[in-house]
Amino acid sequence: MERPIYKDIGTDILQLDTPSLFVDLDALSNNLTNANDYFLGTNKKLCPSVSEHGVPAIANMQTSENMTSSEIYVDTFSQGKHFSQNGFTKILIGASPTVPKRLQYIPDLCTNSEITVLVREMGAISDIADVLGDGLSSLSVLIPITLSSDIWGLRVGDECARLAEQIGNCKWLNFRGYFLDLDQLGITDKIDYRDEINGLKEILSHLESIGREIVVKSRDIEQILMETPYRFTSVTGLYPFSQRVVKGDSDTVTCGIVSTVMSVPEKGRAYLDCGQKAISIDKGLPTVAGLGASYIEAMSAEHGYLVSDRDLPDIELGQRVVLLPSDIGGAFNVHDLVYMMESKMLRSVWEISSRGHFS
Amino acid sequence: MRSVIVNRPTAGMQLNDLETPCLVVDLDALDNNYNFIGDIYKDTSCKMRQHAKNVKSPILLQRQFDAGGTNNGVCVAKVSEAEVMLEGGIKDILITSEIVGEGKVDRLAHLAELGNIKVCVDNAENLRSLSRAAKNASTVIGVLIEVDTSMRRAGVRSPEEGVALAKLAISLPGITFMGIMSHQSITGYPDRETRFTEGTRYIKKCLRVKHAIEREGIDVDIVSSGETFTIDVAVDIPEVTEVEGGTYALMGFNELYMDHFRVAVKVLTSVIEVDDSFAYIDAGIRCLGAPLGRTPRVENRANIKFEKMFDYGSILIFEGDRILGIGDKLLLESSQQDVLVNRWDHFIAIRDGVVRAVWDIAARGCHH
Repeated sequence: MERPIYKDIGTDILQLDTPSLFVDLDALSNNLTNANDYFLGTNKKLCPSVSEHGVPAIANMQTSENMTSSEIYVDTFSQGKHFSQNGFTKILIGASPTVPKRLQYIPDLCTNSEITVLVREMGAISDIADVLGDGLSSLSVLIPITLSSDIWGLRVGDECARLAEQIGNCKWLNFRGYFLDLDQLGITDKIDYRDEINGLKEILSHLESIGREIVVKSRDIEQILMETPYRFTSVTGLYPFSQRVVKGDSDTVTCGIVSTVMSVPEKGRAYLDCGQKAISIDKGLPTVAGLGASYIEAMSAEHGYLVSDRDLPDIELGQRVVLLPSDIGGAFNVHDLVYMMESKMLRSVWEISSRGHFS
Repeated sequence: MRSVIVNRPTAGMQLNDLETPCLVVDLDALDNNYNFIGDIYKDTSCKMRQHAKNVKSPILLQRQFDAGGTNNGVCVAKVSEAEVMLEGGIKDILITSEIVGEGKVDRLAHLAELGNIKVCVDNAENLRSLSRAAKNASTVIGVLIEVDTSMRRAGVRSPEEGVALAKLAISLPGITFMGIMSHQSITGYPDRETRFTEGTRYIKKCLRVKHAIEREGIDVDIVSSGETFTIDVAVDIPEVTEVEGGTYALMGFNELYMDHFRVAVKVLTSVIEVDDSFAYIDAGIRCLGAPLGRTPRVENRANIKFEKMFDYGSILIFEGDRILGIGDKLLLESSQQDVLVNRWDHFIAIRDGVVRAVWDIAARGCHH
């Protein structure tokens, strides 16, 4: 049997099989252009986190549009391998090769692409040097740093300096600089980075004075940090999917899940065919686009429970409802395909081909 | 649809040699769970109709058929899951969700050519659309009327609604009225007495609709009700013909008060870095799931807890001496096994610490 069900180019968004993940191409392109323009106006570099979506075609759009860097960021070695095989030549992997299975990826990765990894333990350095021992390739290294106990990393100081020196002494390794993962501060709420960022400013100043690169990862582009005078590379993943609209406006949704009302058992309540398995509620329930004050009350594994806005006409059986994920990356993580729309018509279907690359 | 496993293990590999994170199914625990069902439903008129949405694999479902206690049928949540089950050789399928929308209804009608397909309904308009599609496809779709007993989601709300829908069903071409079904989630009642009281109350609410339909002279052949938490309740209610159990096969750790069952699905993870009281592991939210913040737990290690979860890693905290080292392996158990399984493409089947097989999770990502 055919899976997925074939849809003609030009199919209306409301005729997609549901639940389906879609992205508006115009909004996506617009976001990429805006991000590039914004970064060009600063002394910072943009490194797109493509783990957020896992789609090489979107990653290609991101790197094509980005005039500040050609590098991409991924979270795992298997994603690094996947994107390397898809032609990406400069990849920052936000993981440490401390165990044998991870080390095994390195020779192949380094042959095809310019790779950077994280190293926090001195013990890892000799292991990496061993797998690179043929001298045919080299590997760049960032040291993960922390400003508080809330982030996994080394405090900038003597230990950091010793590790940097040891990396620098290793023939096949290139000590690149430091990595700070602000996403570790929290996963559910909008994070108040201010305390961290005040501390970070001092570190940025110090590291810039000694000529070291610093890479800061944050899901959103952090305005407070961007306004500092210091140079750094910003790893960020959500900017392609910024909504041009806010909740309650259905005009253009950059990224959403189109679902269907499959039962209207009582007035004011509807039962949707999209549940946790098709949108992920790891970071909260989705919101509803274009239905006023309607909201998702709960989600089971398979279904969503919509409470409708009393001021709107009754929800009808078969009606399509667009849901906005609370976590874009979580939504991509549970789909195999993303439907690329233009003016609400299907333009292309792209595979989320690094989905499931967890190792 | 697609096979994602970067370095596919082979039978005979040791558990500790697997690339992590990976999803493993503990065959001893799985067999324990399936054999329990086989035993208690062996000589009863009520049979198990296992829910495929939890395991998403015809291979696993077949193991329950082999262990006995079933009616050789399964439940699914989506048309696309029904397609996978048919491809896997399972012919008797009940779709436990209303199927709405022309495209899906047409697919369903054509599937009825290939197997014994039943679907639940709660709405006259939906029933008529199923009839039209079945007529066009020259097939017959079995329907069960869903009864809402507690969850305020789909389902008729009264016996009168049920009767009206049953009468409509028997009048429509392409439709065979087969019975009624209900779903209730009797979770969170660790004490057996409350679980039995609540379970019986909800199932009897469903049976009231059956009785009302029968009073109109309409036969109700199937009463499909109950779930894992009423496996031992429904079996003793004479009019229930089948139980829609799903969770029991793999189990989540929150439900282990159902103490006949064991957690059969786990994620193997490696310690990547370690401090005096923290360890960083390679399994995070993306592969484990943490619906609304509910965290997994570490198997047999009560002194190790989840401190934080990130997209692709987590921080564990432990008390006392440094008890973990880089490269150590841990098994993680989920609170919600079907959401966990939905993120993976393969089960790595393990017995005695050795890989016995690698099975596709064939219905993963079947959202339509």
